[in-house]
Amino acid sequence: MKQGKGIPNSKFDRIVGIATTKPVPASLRHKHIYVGETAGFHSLGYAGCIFSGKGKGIFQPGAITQADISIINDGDILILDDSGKFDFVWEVGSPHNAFFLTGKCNVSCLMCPQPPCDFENLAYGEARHILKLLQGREIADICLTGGEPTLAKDKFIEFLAHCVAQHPESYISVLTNGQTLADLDFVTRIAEIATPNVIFCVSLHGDNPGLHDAIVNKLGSFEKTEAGIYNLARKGVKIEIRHVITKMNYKRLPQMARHIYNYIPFCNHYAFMAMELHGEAVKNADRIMVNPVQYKGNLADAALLLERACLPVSLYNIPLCMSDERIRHLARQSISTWKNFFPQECCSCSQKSLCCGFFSTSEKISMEDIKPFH
Amino acid sequence: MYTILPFNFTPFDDCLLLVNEAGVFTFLEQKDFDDFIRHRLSETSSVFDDLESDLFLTTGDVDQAVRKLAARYRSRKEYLRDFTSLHMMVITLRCNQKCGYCQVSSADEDSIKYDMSVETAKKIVDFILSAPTDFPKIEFQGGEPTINWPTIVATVESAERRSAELGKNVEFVICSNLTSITDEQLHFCKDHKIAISTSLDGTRDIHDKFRRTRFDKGTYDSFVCNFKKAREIVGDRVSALMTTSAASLHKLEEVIDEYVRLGMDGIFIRSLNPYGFAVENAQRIGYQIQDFTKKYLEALEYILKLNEQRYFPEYFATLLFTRMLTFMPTGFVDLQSPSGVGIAGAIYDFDGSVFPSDEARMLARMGDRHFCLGNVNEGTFTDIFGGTKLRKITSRACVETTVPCSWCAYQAYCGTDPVRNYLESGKECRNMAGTPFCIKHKKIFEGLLRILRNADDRRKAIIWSWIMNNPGLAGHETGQGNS
Repeated sequence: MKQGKGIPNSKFDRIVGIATTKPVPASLRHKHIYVGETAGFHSLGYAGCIFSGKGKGIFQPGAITQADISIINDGDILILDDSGKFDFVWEVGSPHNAFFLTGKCNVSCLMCPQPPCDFENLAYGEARHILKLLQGREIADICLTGGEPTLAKDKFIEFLAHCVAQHPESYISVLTNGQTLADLDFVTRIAEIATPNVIFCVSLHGDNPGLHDAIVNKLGSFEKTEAGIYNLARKGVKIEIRHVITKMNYKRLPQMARHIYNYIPFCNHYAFMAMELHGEAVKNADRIMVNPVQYKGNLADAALLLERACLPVSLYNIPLCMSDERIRHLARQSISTWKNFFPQECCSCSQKSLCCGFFSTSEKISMEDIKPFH
Repeated sequence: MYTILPFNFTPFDDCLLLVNEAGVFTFLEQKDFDDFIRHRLSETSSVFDDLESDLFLTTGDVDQAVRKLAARYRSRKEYLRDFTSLHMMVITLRCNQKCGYCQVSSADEDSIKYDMSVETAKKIVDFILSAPTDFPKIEFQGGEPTINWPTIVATVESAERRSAELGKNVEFVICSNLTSITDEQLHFCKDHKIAISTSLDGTRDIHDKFRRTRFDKGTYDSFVCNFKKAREIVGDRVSALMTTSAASLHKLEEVIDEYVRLGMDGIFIRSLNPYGFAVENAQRIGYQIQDFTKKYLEALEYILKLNEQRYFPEYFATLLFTRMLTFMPTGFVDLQSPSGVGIAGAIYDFDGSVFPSDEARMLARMGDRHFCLGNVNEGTFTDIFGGTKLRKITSRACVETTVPCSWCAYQAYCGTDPVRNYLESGKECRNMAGTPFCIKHKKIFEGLLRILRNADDRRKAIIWSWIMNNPGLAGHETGQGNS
């Protein structure tokens, strides 16, 4: 998530609000965070403030000073922390906005870019708060993620219901490992509120239990996840399969495609994803790190099988020059804007505007594999 | 410890072929197979992972595995829901041709008594539209159906009116040799979206060998002339079928070239059915079924090579590849289980008698009305299609439950035909081992699986282009596909 930093003016509890550089009527100021150069009467009554200057006024609420305010747009939703950090929990105009419903997870994937942490209670509350602030806006995409967003079953259902009710226009994707969905009663309740605009993006990292369980680091996961996929299908909830390619599973990409086609061909979308070398992934790099160039051929075999069989398939996070030309048209610009990055080598490339580029968050990118198109 | 899930198997070249209940196949080396069935296959080997991925074994809950197999199984048998959608009507037994291997014992052109009356035709239409399917297909057969044109016109008009009332979508096909079709008739076909299925055996030499007029003249020239006209007027809803005879068995490449030359969308290389006139002339026009499968597979190789240049599917291979590679339902009256006779297609004779298949009707012409299900003038749809006779025929015509098909490795791709069994052996259900039906299909399954096993990516693309009817998948222009 995009972040900014400055110097806190005092101790304060986390502040959630809508960024504004323009004056807001006094009655609405409690929902907003004032963004400007200095403190003064004009910045009174807001939930919080971010100043570019030193501006340490009196009667100011929690504020962050000496921050780079040029990165903030009116309408962004920010969370201010008295460490001086501010998180962009909602960026205006970005297609990659997400609600982090919990930090907890019931698996521990070796390549997780976002290791689990314990902020569940806070997360659901803040998510509700952010959602309320979005009231009245037209939103194209909403993503519910975590941790494992479905973990607190009732709260998840409640939150999903709020999203659907408040934003019937939005495409809502739920990023889940599918474990909780093995419970048919839970899926039945989900199906009651999920509209055709809701899709469950279920991670499946192997074509057999041994492989998937090793990657998510929990025995019995494969069976639960596939049961979850079947439950969703049975209840008519839309499904996307997400397969993250690592050193552990890239050799079985063709078998993965075959398994998908034979036994789970009823999903709405299939995504093969290159990994981001961040978080847990860095610790486990020896076991899981693999470069897209290494699995070029295997990925082409897998994607072509699904494409020929008329299954909708996409490649995420795979730069065009690192994918087989027969499947390049399946590559999508999938990396969130705030962590999207193109190294120097890409400047001369004619395909740059169509390419997903790289994760700025990845610890290592192998530059020698970048082959710009001319 | 792992659980072995149900599958059939057979030796195959240098290894073993395994096919599970849902039609997923794999090849295993003998040593791995032995280890596998003795529960001593190493759980860390890639063979083990492959077998678990394909559901030949499971280390987890068997119910979960069965749930996945069942989903694929259900999908493959989905055609059974569409109860009796193909309805063939014998508009007349008269024919202007007298072909060497005709299945249907054509009557002389002037035997008016073998025409279906307009009254009978209208009753049949009511009957067809009371079938549960919303997409009935009416196929006009004969003889040469266009000879009794007024009945066709009456049937089409009545079916269109009645189906509109009922909210059903009815499709029509006329099976015609085209040699005497008129412009007026072709325009009627165009106006009422009637497809035309005709016959072409190959080049002039081959075609004229058996497809002859009642005055023993060749029909190739008039066929080609009218085929072109039909294409101009009716468009690409005009297609042709071929029958392989002794005259063409060794010249299938010429036949294929001729099909390409005439702008056909693809070809269905059909073997001869040993019925009707064909039995009497077996010596002259027939061949050993082993010779057919050999030549068929050679021709298929020729067609696959041809597809590197242009899109041109072979339809029988397309059907079987679809069964081997996909979960898609593939009803095909001649080769499905339970057999398609009666439940996928039915035929109405000129007098209103209902038969489960064309061969059953021919049998009746030869004096054995064993398979007659009733007559539209006497019973209702439910009486005839829900009656004990058809139930009995169908329940005994499942390869899953008959010996030795139930343990055959190719079972998931095969089917049966109780009428043909009865014709050949006097029994609807018999031991299929060694019958021409079994030899033909086994050899073809083997050949196709060998093609799949050795296919490079180019060839895989071609095979999928056939299955999906999408020339683009093999890199050809998409405009070439069949509509």
